[in-house]
Amino acid sequence: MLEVQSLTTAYEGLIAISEISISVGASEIVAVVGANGAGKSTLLKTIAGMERPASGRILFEGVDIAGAPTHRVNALGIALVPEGRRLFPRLAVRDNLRLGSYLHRRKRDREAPLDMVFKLFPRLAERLDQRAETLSGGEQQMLSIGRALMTRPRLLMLDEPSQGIMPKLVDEILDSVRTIREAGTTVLIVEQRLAETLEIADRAYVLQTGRVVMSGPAKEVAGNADVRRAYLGI
Amino acid sequence: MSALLKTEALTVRFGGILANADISIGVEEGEILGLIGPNGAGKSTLFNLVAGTYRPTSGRIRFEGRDITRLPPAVRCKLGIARTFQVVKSFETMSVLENVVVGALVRHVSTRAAREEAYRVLDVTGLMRRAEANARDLTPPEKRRLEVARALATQPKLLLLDEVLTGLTPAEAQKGVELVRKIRQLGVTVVMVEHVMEVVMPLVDRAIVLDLGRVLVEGAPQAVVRDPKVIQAYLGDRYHA
Repeated sequence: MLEVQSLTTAYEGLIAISEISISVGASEIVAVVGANGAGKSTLLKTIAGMERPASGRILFEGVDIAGAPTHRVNALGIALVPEGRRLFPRLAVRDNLRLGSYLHRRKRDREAPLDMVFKLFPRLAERLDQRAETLSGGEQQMLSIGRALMTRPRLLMLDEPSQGIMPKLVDEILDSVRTIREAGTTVLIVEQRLAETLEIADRAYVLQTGRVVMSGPAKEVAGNADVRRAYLGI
Repeated sequence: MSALLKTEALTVRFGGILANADISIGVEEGEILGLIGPNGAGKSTLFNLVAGTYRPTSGRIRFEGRDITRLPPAVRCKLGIARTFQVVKSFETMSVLENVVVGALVRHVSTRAAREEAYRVLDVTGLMRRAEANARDLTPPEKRRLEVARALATQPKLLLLDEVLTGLTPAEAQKGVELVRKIRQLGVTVVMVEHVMEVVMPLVDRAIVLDLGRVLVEGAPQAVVRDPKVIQAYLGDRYHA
């Protein structure tokens, strides 16, 4: 479904990711793990069209989308749950969700995903009129995922959904990722918290300072002692 | 040694989120302190509280014993706290020298004295031969140096470095490490947020690890990275080595 080939992205000359190649098959959960600053977010942002790659190709269902603008990438069926959630803090939960679906022309299409979002995160249904900023960190993350689902993506990309969230809610959010996949959406998840993420992923890539240093079935990566070196240098 | 900076139960809340919770730390004069932790742990928030960009919801900040909790950033700079930004904030259309002079004007009324100070700092930071270049024409590692130089020109007692080594090649990062050591030799206390562990661990005297807005562990760098709590904060609660 997604084929990233030798992708390099730099910020004003500072190389963030270097010749990264990964693939994601339909209905897979693929994890990209690694420590802070490894380049995980840059990878997702480049796929989503928020950063322009210096070189490389990004094939989504055979079409090269490298350098395409975000709204086009989204219209093709890729949605990003950004790092730090990026909600509209002063808007109600309901309006944040609505903003996810505005690309759809027909009202029916705009509202159809709501049921699934509420089933996935019943708390959001209870808090529809509450401002996003008053939600807890975990609930904000649920809202951000919900907003991405409103675009009805075929590939959902999540950028560190566990960031700043209490361990109990981390499990709840990762469980929801599993449910999302069961509903037919492919998932590419970027995480720092390796142990919990690899429990839900099928395959994983480990990034260290902008390069893929290890890849394989999630179970094998989880059991590999070299991973700790990639994180903590020990 | 005595505490140059102290935070007392520092707490800041953004809407429903506790970004910093009950943080009490001390920074000793003359040390290099590393501030580490997973993304979203609250490191930048703590920097912003100390520099004065944010106001805490509760708690206090003392600098040389004086309560600075309510002071604006410019006053804190005058007292001796300088910072760099992760995304460099140089004046793009000004020369390297002029950028550093702006910092030096915090201490000097005359531009001539400020310029002399700026040249000293350019020498320390290895930017002398780029003095006349436009800031925007610098290479990325040079831009990082300029960011440090601008802060250093304010003659701080405490320098807060926000990811100045991130994104550099190993060779460039090593030069950055040497610069930080040199800065400490000049008598400046350094607190740095940094991600590349192999680079930062040999450099710092002490490390404080934040997680979920709280202090998780503090101690010698080699002990800290082996602490099971730290390993779990980075790799996940169910990670077993």
